[in-house]
Amino acid sequence: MKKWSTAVICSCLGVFLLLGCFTALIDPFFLYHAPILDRGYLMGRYEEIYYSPGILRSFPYEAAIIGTSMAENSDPGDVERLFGLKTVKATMSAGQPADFRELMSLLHRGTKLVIRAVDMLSNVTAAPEVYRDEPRPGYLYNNNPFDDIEYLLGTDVLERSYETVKRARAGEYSTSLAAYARWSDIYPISKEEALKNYERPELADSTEPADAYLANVREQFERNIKPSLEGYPGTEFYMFNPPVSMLYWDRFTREGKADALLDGYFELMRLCLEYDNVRFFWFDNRELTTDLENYRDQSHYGPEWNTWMFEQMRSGGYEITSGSLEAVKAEFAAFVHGYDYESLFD
Amino acid sequence: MLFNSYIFIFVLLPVSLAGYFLLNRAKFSRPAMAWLCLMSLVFYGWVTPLYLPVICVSIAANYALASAMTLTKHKKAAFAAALAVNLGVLFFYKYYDFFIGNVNRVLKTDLVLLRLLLPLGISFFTFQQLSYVIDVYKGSAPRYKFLDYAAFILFFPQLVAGPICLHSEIIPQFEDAKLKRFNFANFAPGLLAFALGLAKKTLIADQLGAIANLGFAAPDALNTAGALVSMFCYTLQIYFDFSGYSDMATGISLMFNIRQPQNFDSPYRSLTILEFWKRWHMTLTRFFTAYVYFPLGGSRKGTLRTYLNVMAVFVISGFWHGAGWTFILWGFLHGIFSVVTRIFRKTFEERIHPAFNWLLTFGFVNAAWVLFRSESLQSALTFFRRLSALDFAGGIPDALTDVGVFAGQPQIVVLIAIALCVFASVQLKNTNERLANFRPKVSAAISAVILLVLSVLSISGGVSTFLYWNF
Repeated sequence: MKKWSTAVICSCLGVFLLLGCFTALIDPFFLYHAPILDRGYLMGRYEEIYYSPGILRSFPYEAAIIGTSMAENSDPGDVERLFGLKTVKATMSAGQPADFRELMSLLHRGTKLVIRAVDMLSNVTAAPEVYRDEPRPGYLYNNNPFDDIEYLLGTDVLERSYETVKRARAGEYSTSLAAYARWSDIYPISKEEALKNYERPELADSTEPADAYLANVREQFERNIKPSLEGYPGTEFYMFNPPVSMLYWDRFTREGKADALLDGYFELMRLCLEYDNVRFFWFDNRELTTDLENYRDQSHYGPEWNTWMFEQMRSGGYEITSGSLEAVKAEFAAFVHGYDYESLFD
Repeated sequence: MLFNSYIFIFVLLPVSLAGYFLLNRAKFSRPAMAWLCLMSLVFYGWVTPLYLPVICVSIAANYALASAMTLTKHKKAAFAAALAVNLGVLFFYKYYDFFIGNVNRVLKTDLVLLRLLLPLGISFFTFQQLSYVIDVYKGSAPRYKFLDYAAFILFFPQLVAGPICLHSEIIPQFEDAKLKRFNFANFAPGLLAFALGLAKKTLIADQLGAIANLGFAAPDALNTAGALVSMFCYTLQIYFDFSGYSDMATGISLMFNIRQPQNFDSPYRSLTILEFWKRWHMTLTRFFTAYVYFPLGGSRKGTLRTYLNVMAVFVISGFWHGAGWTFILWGFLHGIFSVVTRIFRKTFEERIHPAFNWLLTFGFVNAAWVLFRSESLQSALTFFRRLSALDFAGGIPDALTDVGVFAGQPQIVVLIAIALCVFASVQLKNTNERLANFRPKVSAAISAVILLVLSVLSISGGVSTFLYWNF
């Protein structure tokens, strides 16, 4: 009986150890180390919730580009060229501010620069405790070694480790962070496409009060943004509003929410700019935003504009400061209200 | 905490075993019992510590009232208080909203529902304590040491989903000095039982349950083929889930040198419904027989009274399983079929071919599970309508079977899996039969390793709960 029991337990532990070591060695989601194979990793845009935390944990870098689909077309090579810093991209399509708080908590201590796309809608209107709606692999985000067993012995992760090796041998996929999560190769960008993806809402009967989202924005800041700014005092944060098209403002003007959104967003900028390690860029480039040929829908622009924004950051273009906030807001609100939206549909 | 979780398998179980036997080895038998209680409380409170006070107070109150029955002159009052405490707590947490909901419906009132989270395993630990205080009142139970009593109720293998043990079969084992030493002769079969139970749960019940969940979530979208598959999947899910849990409880207890009463004896082999209830959740049947059926008079007060007593037991059993009309009707139908079987016992046993008896019993049990699983009587009615519509157009709906391990597989795989599971539940030796003839053979070791490895690997990606936790 003793031999039998010992044999069963040792065999099980042996198999678990073997499988766990295999997962740890291949490490398909970079929980422990950067890729050990040239290819086979980074398999899907829709799996950023698995890949991005590992990129921030385990890749070597001095700068990181973080954001939603508005940052997915970014090429870390641009930042490396412009700022001379080794750069990674850790994006999450449709990520909520709470997702980014957790993601940013994984930044290396010595990170010099974080370029952070701050989506207006989610940061102003979403509930601060809301995460992207899918099961979260908590073990990839926390530093609790005890739940790593879910990673080491999870069938899905084991399967992915095996696939990674198989794909690497077949020369498929790469570890290129420029290609990681990039959608511009998949979706066409044109005025026709932008209008096709836009459903114009009916005119609302009422207008939301300008302060409708202020309390939410402040809570959002306290809970999901402030911890990163205070947690990494030695890191410079270049935050920016992704420059959405005028279709976006057509929607929210018609829905009676434009002023409330603007009030909320400018409040968020004001709160961020209270920190010395923050620079905020308000990319109000009307050549871009009024020309739907640059977009695939109301918000998403082509990859050349990601490069353009990095160049502006480098030169200090479109930077907004605490002193200029109110004037910029008043001018932009007047532009939003006075714009001839019908011209977009010509 | 769940048996099918990493924290239980890799931490709580080995730590509990090691602590218990090391303390006993050092002759610290009382601290060993305290350790067992502590580990059981960790197990119970792991997910939500909210109800730890409920179970602790319940244990203390029952022990105090049982002591009052033996040590003071207020035996009757203490007994009445014990019944009131146990039934009151059970009613408050499990049945209050059901009653108020019905009162609101009938009297058109608007009384507030409590919407309380049901404390895990409350029906099980309440029944175990009820059996003890009733036995103390009858004078057939001694006054145990508090730690032994607490360990009897809290003992984590049985705490949240049974078996419903009697004090007389567990506490003497705790007190037996010979059973306080680690024993491979118990550990080895215990390990095999745990492996079998874990595999039943994770590799069979959860997979078939995924199909059943989809089918019962939207019965109006089913055709007859889909309804049949959903029904069979649930019938198999509930058996492999609950008997899997019982196997694990048996196995873990054996590792502690404690023998649990058998809870399942291949119930789907049964040729009559009377036999089914001797094989399904045997410790519950035993409880109701001893503490409801016999006190009502059993079969000693004439035929009609016997049948009424049988009906009472089954309706109460239905209500015990859940505070809802579907459960009550489920119990009622089992009662009716049991009475009919008793009336025509000779016909069933002597004139009808066993194969037909089996089909009749298995068919009835399947149909009754539909009631048990449905969200409401309306939903059950819809399910039965789809089942009897004889609408096989398009075969089994693809959306029903494209889930879990069956995703992307041809539907014949699902049908083969159902057939194999029915065969296994009827024809293969059950865990208790395997334990009775356990020999430390290589083949058993290989089976145990394969089952444990596959089961543990399948735990990740969302740990599922056991069905009987809700009861």
